[in-house]
Amino acid sequence: MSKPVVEIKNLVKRYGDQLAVDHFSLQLEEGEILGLLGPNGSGKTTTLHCLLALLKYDKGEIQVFGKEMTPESYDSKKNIGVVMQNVAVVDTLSVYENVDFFCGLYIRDKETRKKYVEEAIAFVGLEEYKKYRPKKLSGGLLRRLNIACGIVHKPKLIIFDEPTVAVDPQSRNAILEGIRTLNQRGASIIYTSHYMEEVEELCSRIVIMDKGKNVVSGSAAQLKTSIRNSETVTVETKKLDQEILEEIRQINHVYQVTQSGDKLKIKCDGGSHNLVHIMNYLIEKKVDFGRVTSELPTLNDVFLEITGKELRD
Amino acid sequence: MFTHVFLYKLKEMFRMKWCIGWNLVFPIVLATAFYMGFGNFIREGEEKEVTQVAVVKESDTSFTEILKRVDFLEIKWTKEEEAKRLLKKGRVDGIFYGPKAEGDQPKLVINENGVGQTLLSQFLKSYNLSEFQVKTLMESEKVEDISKAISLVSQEVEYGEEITGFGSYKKEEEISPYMQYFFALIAMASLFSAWLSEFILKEMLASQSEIGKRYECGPIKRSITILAAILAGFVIEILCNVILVCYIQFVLKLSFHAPLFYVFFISCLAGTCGIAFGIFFGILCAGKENLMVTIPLTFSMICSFFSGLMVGNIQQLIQNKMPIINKINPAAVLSDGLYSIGTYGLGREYWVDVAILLGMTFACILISSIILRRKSYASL
Amino acid sequence: MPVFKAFFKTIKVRFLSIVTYFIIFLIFGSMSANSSRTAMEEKFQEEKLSIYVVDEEESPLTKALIESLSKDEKVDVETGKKWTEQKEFQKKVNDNVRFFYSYALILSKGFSERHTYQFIMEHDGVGGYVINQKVDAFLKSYEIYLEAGMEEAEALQMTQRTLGEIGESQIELTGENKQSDSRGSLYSFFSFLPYSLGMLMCIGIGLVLAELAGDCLSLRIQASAMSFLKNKMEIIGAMLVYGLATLLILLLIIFLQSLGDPDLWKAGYYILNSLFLLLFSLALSYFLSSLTKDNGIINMVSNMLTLGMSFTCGVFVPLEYLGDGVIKGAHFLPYYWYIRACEIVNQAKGSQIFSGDYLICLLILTLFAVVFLVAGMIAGKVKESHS
Repeated sequence: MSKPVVEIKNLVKRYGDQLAVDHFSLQLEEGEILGLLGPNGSGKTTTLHCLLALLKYDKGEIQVFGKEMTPESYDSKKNIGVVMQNVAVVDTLSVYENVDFFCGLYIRDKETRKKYVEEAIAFVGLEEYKKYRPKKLSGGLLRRLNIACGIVHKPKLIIFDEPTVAVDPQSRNAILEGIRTLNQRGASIIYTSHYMEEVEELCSRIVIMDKGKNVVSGSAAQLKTSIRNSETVTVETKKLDQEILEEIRQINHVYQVTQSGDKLKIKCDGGSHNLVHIMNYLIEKKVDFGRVTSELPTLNDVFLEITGKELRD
Repeated sequence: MFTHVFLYKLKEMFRMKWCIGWNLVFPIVLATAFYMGFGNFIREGEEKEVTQVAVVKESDTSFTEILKRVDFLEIKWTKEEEAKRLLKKGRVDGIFYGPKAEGDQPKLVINENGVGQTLLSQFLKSYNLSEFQVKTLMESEKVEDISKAISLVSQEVEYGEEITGFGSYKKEEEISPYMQYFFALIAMASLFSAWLSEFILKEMLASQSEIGKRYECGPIKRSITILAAILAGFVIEILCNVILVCYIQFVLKLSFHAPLFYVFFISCLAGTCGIAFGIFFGILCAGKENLMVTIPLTFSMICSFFSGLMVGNIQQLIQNKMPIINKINPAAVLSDGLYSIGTYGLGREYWVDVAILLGMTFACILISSIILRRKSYASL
Repeated sequence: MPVFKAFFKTIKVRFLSIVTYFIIFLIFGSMSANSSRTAMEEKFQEEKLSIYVVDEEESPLTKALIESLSKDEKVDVETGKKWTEQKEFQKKVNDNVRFFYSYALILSKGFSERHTYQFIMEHDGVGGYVINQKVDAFLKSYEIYLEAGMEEAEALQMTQRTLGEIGESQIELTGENKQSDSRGSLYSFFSFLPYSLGMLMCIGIGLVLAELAGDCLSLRIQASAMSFLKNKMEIIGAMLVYGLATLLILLLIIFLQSLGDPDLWKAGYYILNSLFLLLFSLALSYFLSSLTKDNGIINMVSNMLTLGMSFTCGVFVPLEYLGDGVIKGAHFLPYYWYIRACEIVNQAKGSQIFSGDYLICLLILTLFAVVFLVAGMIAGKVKESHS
């Protein structure tokens, strides 16, 4: 069995008295897209900075490609690509020059570099904008340029730190598609975000972080089945009496009933046809209701159940 | 990779308007303004100033005879009306009315007080002194042999000898003191390069910018990227300084009175010193955007002021009172180097100044390297 | 008044730069004021020259000569140094003459026997000839009395007496000045005002306006409930308050330094002139902020403009020393008219100040202000239409 591409064991990082990362562990297998999910301030970016040997940490071990990661690990760094949360490009260089410049930090050979640069620009769809300077690009195009600069040298490990922030849906879809393609070409990816939909869609395995800790990890399906909630039924209705709410609570597999405004939320654990049972009851009790929806649990539900907080704060 | 970073940094800096503006355009504009302001002084300084006087001669007397032999006055022999007209227009500093007869007192008419007028009055005093001396001799009981003394009264004697040169210095070839402003300007332009290196540092360090994070994530030593970028900064600064010196020498036609190579050399060295200071400031002001603008500007302006940018003789004043200040002020060191090579030729002073600039550059880079040696950051 | 408050909160960030320019004004204004002359034009007065004496011999003759010179000149004496042996000292003396002194007098060993001296004169200027005349007169006088048979000490005494008792020459001062040399500290400070006021407006107002006009911030303000007019009025109000406060501080500095100036009664005219200068400076800062939002470029252009105008319009270099071509060109620059007005106030006597010329200068300053204001508005509109 091959060694993990990235192995973080019991990482601890403090900023003064504040514990930013609290005995955090993580493993990234080869060919995997690992999602690192957590609310703002959970320690995702700090963890990545420690992983990249940009930050000193207080305790723990970090290994990349089977070797300890230090600021002098130039061999490992050659195979790492980073797409920062904030756009990191040079304003006075054109799109082509930016990609070429950052590629040149990794690739010595001119011919190879030229080929890689063309490919990276084509990959992110910026062929028409080669001569444009960053100031002339929209937010989405700028993000694409940011990505191109990070992956141009065809790294084996790519770290995406919230790459779709403030990006339009079209560009976001293009970015996510691009990430899938990179993975298909053999790159192992760590993808951080606080957008659970992206992480759910993209990542084969997810680690949820909160307050610097690894709260839970697994595939999206595993995480969802690990919690009590298996279905949430939402009914639009006027405010109901406590008696009726209590009776709904007695329906099989219903474990939580809450009403906020005109929305009645009914959470069920396990079972099937929960929706039918609930509808029958409401009809029987002659309760007026409008729209009814049934949702499977999301990662937010997972997070909420484990931590008591919403993922999006 | 060093060359790759160096070439791209060069390209980047050439395209930064503020970089070329502060380091090239601003000094050239200021040099032109200096030239327009001081040009007259520099041009007039090439010819020795002479006091002009109109003389209204009533008759030939010893006074007018002495006047004919004087070489430090430019005399216009003319009629009274014309003399008054010349005085009113400021073409002469005064009017001598020659005595009507021997024994009469000549008269001086002036419009205002000044050095030229003082010279004319002193001349008049010296002339009147002769008569007074004869009178005093005659009246004095202590005089034994009056005849020899009286014969000396009428003699014109000069006791002084002007020093027009010593060592390799020659007065007739000396540089105008107003060039001090231009030296201070070159010094200021050199120290403005501190902004450039602050910018370089900000871009290269993970703690200061996102691009810095990208650099530091790359498989290339921090020292190599920083060195390559700094070298690009050096090249820009050297180019700007060379253009400025050439502009002053060939366009404004103000000579440095020294072989241009040595002028270029010390100017470029001052530019690299400015770059070194900028790296040092960049580390001190890390993360504080406002300080990163204010500190180099204040540093450059203060150092330049004390090297004569606005008051030409301030450097000499400091040299007399507290010379050590001139030795630790990089602008004053450059200004002194240019002055000494322009006035006294290539000598010890020039090389001492070169050594001081080199020392400052080295010290800043050394301290900066020690601070930057830290491998990773406590926070970003 | 949120925009008004935001204006001043943003300016606070530039506090250090603002204080620097106040300090520059205080230092340079004071230096300029100290070197100004209030010439008593009613009677002739000898110009006091600075001379540097190297006395190697320190004999009664040298001391008497120095004492004689000290009566009318400012004399600094260096003893214990040998002129010929110390190259560094030679350069120091030469440098001092170039920058400070009109004249250096070297009295070497053997002066008492030979009666010869060496001197270094300033390159330009005729002060050296004055001193030569005085020294030669002293030595000649001394030799005459020695030749007459007196002892050295007696001859010295007689020389000093002779030079002290010689009557006044016939010198008439007409009082028709080709230019007024009488420039008190008040004039000096006010003539230095344009540079400091200009920079304070540009780095204060110019930079803040550029920030308020920044993309997101200006859109946010426009989208708010605040009307366009209220927004603009608050900005204008803030500019005026800042401008007036700055000018007030500068005026305070001027008056604290110029309390003894005999022309203090003209202060009102200077202040009026400076108010019009303030108008122009405000317009200039507005214009710069309309051209660009880049702080670095605003800083650079404002420095170029104010320094360039200061050197060519009589702020740093008096107008009479500028070339004819420079003066012709300066007519197209606002600082020139401000300085002209200062000169009119300085030279005027009695109530002649509020004359046509003075008012024309104020009018032209106003015109410049209007031109820059309009230019700024046009520049802003053009940028808006292109963005």
